[in-house]
Amino acid sequence: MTSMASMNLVHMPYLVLEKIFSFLSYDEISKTRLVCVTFNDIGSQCLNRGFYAAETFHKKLLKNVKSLLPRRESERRTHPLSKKSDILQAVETRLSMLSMTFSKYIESQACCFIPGKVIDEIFRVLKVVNTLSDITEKGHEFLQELRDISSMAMEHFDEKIVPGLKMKLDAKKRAEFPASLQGAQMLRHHSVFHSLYLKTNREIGFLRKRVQGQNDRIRNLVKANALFKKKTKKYVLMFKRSQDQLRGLMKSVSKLQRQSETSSKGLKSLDEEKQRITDMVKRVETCETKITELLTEPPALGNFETEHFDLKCTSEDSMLRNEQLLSCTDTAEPSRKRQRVETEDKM
Amino acid sequence: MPNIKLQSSDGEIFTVDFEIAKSSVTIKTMVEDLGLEDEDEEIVPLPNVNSAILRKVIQWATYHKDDPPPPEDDENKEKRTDDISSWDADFLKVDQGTLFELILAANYLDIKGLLDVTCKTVANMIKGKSPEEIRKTFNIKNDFTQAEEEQVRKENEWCEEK
Repeated sequence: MTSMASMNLVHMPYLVLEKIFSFLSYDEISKTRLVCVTFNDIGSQCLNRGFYAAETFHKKLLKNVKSLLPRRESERRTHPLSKKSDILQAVETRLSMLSMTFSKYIESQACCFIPGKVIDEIFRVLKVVNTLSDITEKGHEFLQELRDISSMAMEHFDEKIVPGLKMKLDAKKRAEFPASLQGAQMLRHHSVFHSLYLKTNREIGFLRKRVQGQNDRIRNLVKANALFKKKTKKYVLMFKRSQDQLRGLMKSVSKLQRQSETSSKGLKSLDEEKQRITDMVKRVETCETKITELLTEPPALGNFETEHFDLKCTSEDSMLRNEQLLSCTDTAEPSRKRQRVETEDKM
Repeated sequence: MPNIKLQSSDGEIFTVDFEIAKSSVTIKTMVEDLGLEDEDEEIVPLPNVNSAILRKVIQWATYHKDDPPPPEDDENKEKRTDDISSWDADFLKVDQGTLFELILAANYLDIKGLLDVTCKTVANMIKGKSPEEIRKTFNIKNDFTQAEEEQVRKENEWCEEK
């Protein structure tokens, strides 16, 4: 059996080593962790599993006891199983405290459930509760050891172990994101954000200017609108006034038209009259010349008398007409009056 | 099928009562799966077990052929190692190499009773010893770094009385 000389315990299959460890108490397992890396690895696994098994065992027992207890709390107090129930409740508190202390670091694989002795004690208590129908020891004394050692373990862990583990976890996190890469990424992110920031700032400035411009334009438009309104009011007033004036003018124009119409009638008759007067003047002149001729050379008397009678008749006729004319033309010019006067005088 | 032929890794053939050989779950499954129950001449090769170990395994199985089947493993079971029978204790008074070979054979052949008793024996060799004593006993090299060893030591300080 030469090959067996090289055979070593640490080279045994993992399952076999776990089997061997399963015959050791958890306290012994926690101590053998110091032997070598393999023992530490397997021991840690066994301790974690042991704590989990203790929790499961406890849950099972508590469920069993609870199912046997009456629902009413007042009846529970006097029930023979009440002591078991109390002990299980106390163990539950301990378990949850231990879980709170260690779980976080076990899950992140920073450590294992270190206090194997505590697991042993939990199992001892639970087995007593499970097997004995009645517990003779007082609850307080019965749980004394569990309380003591679990408190010791948690206190030590929180004070001495946690600070180191936190550093280890931080280092692990940093190792997962290499510092150089992180720095470069940060820088890249920073520059990207910075350029974006500048760009948006520029855009904001530009937009603000545009808004200001629009505001100014709106203000100007409002002013212009007010001015335009004023002006239009003025124009409307002026238009109204001019309309009134126009209406007045139209009236006066129509009046004048009427006047001109009447005056033109008068003028016509005046012209006719003028013509007649000039005719008469001519006749008178001819009469005068005839008279002077007669005066110088006395003609036949008969002729003179008849001619004189005719003249008399025509002059009487024209006088009558003149009076008629005067009555219809009020606005007859003074010249015409003069003419009339002249003609009258001449008569 | 009263007998079965088992061939060790070094070619030796052992004729064994099938009822005894059945204590190995591996052999039992193999025979049943291959339908060898009615074949007297069929040889079952066991390439992972040498003749010296196979002889010891057969010896152990023959002695324990009338044992009740061992109970299933339970996390909450009592971690007793003081219940090894004197016959077993005598039987396992062998060098460490043989003990480990027996463990490996029991593991491979899936003989729970033998695996339990051999592992208990090793556990007993660990119990009550300091880490350094354990290293010496099993010729284990301390492969921790100084920081790692210090960390484990510090973690275990909690239960040291002041």
